[in-house]
Amino acid sequence: MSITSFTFVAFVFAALILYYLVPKRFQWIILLLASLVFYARYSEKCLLFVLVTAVTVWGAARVMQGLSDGRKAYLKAHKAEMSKEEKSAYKKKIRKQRKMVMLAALLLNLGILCVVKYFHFALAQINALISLTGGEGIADTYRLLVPLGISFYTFQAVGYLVDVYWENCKAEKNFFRMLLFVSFFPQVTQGPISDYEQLSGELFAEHSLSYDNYARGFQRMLWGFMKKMVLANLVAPYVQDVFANYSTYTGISAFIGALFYSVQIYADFSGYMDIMCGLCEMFGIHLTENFERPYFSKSIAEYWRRWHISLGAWFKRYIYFPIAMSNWSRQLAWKSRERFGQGISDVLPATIALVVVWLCTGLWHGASWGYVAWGLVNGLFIILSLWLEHIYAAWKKALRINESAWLWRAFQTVRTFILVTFIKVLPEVGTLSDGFGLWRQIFTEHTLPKTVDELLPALAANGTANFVVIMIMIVLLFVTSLMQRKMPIRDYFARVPLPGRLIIMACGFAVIIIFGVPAMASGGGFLYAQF
Amino acid sequence: MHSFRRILGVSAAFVLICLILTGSLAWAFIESEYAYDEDRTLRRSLAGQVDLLIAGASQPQRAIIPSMLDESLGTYSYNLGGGWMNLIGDYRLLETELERNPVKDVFLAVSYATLTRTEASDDYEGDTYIVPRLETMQDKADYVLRCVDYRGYVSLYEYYVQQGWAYMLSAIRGEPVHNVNYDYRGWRPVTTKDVSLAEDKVDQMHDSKPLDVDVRDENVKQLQDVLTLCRDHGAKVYLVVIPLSDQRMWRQSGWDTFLDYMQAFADENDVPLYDFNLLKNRWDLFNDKTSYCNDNHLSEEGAKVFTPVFAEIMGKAMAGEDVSAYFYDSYEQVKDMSPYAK
Repeated sequence: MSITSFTFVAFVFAALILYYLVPKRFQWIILLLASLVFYARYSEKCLLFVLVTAVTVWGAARVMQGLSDGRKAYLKAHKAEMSKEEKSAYKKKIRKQRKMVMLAALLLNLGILCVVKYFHFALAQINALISLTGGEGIADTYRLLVPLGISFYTFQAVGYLVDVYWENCKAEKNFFRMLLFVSFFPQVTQGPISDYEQLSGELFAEHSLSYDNYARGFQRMLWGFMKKMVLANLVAPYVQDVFANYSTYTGISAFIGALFYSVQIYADFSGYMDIMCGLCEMFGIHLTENFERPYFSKSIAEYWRRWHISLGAWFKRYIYFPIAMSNWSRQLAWKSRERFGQGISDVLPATIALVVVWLCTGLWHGASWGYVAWGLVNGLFIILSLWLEHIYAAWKKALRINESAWLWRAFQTVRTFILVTFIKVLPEVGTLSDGFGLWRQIFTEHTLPKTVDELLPALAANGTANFVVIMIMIVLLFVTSLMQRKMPIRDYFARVPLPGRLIIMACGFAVIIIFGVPAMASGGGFLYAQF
Repeated sequence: MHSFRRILGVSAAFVLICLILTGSLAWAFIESEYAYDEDRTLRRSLAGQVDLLIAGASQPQRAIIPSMLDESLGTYSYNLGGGWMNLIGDYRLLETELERNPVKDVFLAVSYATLTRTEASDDYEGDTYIVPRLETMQDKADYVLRCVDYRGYVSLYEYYVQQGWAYMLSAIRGEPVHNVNYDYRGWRPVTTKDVSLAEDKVDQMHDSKPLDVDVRDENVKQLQDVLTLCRDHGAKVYLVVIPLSDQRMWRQSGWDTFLDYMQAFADENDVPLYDFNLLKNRWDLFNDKTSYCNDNHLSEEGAKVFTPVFAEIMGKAMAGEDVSAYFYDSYEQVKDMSPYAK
């Protein structure tokens, strides 16, 4: 069931009607049924993968909770008769058991993710190594099923598992509630990756029908459809053409292709989020926000705090902090202080953690060297800014730069956007060398007459009207993003009288039908769904 | 309850505004002559004159030129063919034209898909083309409600709104918005394209895909209804098959099964069948380089060659002569003689 189809909209409204018709305590069951139907419509076989994740994570969490509760009860019952050492030994034993359970479930679920996602990539690397020694590679005749959204729901489930292990939250007793947490249809395909405490509070609460939730949710859905179906899909053909034939384009045309890719991926992914957040709002559920005007960031690090926020938060919580705050990391910092001084020891744990995080982030996005390089380049920029912070500060002081001046902030924003754009295209052009090839083309091929000759026809290849709509949508996106600095755009919209709002929304709907639907036929699915 | 009423009211208002906005675009297109086959006005203007009708989908529409046919047969013909036309569409158009014209003969073109296709498998494309061709609002509504699967409503709606927008843009830009050519009388000329198979693909593509030969009872019934309709109006029906490119036949297997079930249908319903894919001199007339606009359709050049030959053979058939000598007996024979077999 395509999210951009009338079938999906009809499905959502059917679920919505049932949701508010049943007694409130059963509302989550409607969500569970809807989620299972949604996933089964994609693939019944793949639903098994979701079930395996839900069963193992639920089971492991229950066992860990049982051990934890047993430990507390045991210690309470034997408080007086146990020595401090005995208590410590007992706690250690239980912690070890809990750790084993957590690791078993973690390995199983991450194992499934790794096998289905990285099998072909790993095999290709093994074959490359074998061919270096002159041997024959292993034939890659296997076609593995890749369940929809496996990277998203696995991370969400793993996050829950670790939270239970850390005793940040209690294990869910009801398996079906766990199944809903893993398979909740608005977020199973592309996130946001939510933590259990936050999402369960929303999913299992009783919600009353509210006009405000409905209206605001619907408006947001419509805006999301416009972003995805109209903007993302209309720029897609130009981007695809530039990426496929970058060597024939001039630097400016290739650069515009890269800029359009930034627009496409933002409109695509944030459009999806708007659709899903809007949909959930109609159900009275508030999902974690995944975007906060990321292209207005002033550094790469800030950009990653504002783009795909839930993934960044996940890596920070479950990988960055455990590494940066680990005992061995602190010992390393302590030892390096003696040898290299305070400055280096301060940033060393963070640097190690960042390298691991960005390597994982790259691999999470895709099984290719392009994504690995993409992750490491992002990490490199962030690490460099960490290491060179003092030098930057000295420069700024020497050059008397006023950091609060709008010109400086605008420079930082544009610089970050261009940097982000260059990094983004690296894995998307084809192979890693194609990615670098595009970079080279942008910087080296500058024939002005050729640019003039090729650019406008290429941009208007799918019709002048389409190009005009692209430009209007980009301006609209830019202006609304600027306006959001002061107040959410939907609050501005709420001030428009109802008839005006309805007419604007109807125009949006017509734009989707006229431009979005044909563009969907050529533009295809969501970019982030492949991750 | 207050929220519920408000949601219902505002939703209804939103749907209404959307319908007015998009519906007006759709309506502007449906009532126009923007698409080349929106021929209501043209057909109305010819009422009472037409004595020979050509019906079917896009193959006859592109292959048979009424003016050339008339020169040879001494008739006044009209080509009702239309893109992705289904049998219900054929029925509806024929019904109108048989009512208002002294039609004596109908050449009903059937293809490999006539008895096997479904609306859904064609993505309702045929329905989108047929509705604007129907005479009155009532006819159109009746067709949509009775003949279109509910899943096709979305396809129809999206198509008409998009076409309405294109129509409006053309009008604003001063581009032609009346695209029905009255001289062609339903024929649609299309530019030639070389559709021949590359040499290295010939062996690989041979019989690489079987033809869908699962005849649907529903389609058989619909075809019988068309025959009955024509006979009730005193018109004689001739089933004809329009030539496909050599490569199309070469690529697929199962053509003789199609011929067998089509011949069986013709025999059962006492209607003659002439399959022009089996023409013995087809390679003197057409070739994949210069006669087709794609795998399935003759181009303008192909039509200009085909129509006189078609007229000659059909003229003899209508006069009761035996024309079997013009044709091979099976597709296998044709494929054996195909340029790709050499």
